[in-house]
Amino acid sequence: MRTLFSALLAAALFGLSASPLRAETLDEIYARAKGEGVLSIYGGGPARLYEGWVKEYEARFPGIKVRVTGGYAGGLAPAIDKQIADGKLDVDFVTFQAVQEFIRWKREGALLPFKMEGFEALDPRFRDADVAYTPINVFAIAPAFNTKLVAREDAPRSASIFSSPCSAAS
Amino acid sequence: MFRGKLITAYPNDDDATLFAFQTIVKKYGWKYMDDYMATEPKFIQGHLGVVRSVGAGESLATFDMMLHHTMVEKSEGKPIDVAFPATDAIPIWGQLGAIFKDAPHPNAARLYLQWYMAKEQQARIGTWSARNDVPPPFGLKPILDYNVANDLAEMVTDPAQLSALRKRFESYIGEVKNRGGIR
Repeated sequence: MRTLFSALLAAALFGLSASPLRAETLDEIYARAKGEGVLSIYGGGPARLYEGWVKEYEARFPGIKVRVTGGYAGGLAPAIDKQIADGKLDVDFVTFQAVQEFIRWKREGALLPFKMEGFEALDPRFRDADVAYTPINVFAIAPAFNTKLVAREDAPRSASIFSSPCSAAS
Repeated sequence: MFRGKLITAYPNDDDATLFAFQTIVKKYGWKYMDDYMATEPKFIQGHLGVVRSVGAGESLATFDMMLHHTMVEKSEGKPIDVAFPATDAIPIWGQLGAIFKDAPHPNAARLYLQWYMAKEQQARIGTWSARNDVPPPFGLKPILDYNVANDLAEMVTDPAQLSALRKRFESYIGEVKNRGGIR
């Protein structure tokens, strides 16, 4: 009896801690995801960008079919807003560059907080403390030059050389 | 030497490019745009057109290239390389992903996100990971060790301010004409 009680208590405690904010293992999540059978991703850019990852995911987690809707944030975000307004979502997961839409959706309470395993390894300068969204890649923009036509010592290491009088006059 | 030989995407069309221009103008002032436009730069829709133009030698340089994209082209033997800025900040951002509260398949989405964010996958994404326990790509330094501008959210969060900023750049450049045929 005492053992049963402990087991029940443990189950109750586990139930409490199994909130979306506790990081679960892949196997724990997979056990529940299998029954859903489908994943709908809306992603920035052409759908083929996601093909490789989707194939790997489907192979790693049999029983879940992935559907990708590609496009640009300017089209995807309003489409998702309409789904939210109609109370009928087609999208499960979204990723694109327009940070402002994530910030807005978070404010509107449209997102499901998810604390991934390894959350602490995400740099605080990228992650969201409330885990409404997750930084999945980090991108950078930098100058580049043609190495056949521009000598290394003339490489544009400062934007100022693109506007200097000698550059404009030459 | 760069006259007529510079190219970028349109800052009034692509917010990543807008972020790059804005980071420069914050440092050098709007006067920069007058000087830059005096070099008769080219504009094209989409970063793929930028990388192709510089790789083919039709343009000599740009300050508007996705850094990982340049590294990929370089590794494939194209005559192109990153010019790491001496003092200018490198615009960076974390590409976000999120699950909807009323998603029909929330566990499949959680599973995807957790799997994609695991070290094994993050080490293969071909750009920097937000995880500090994943090595940087291409033998480069951790992204936050560079002088970076990580304030994209500030630029885009207020819709009126964002729209005004796009318009201001458009006043120098004009509307999107060169669609490039690739996005």
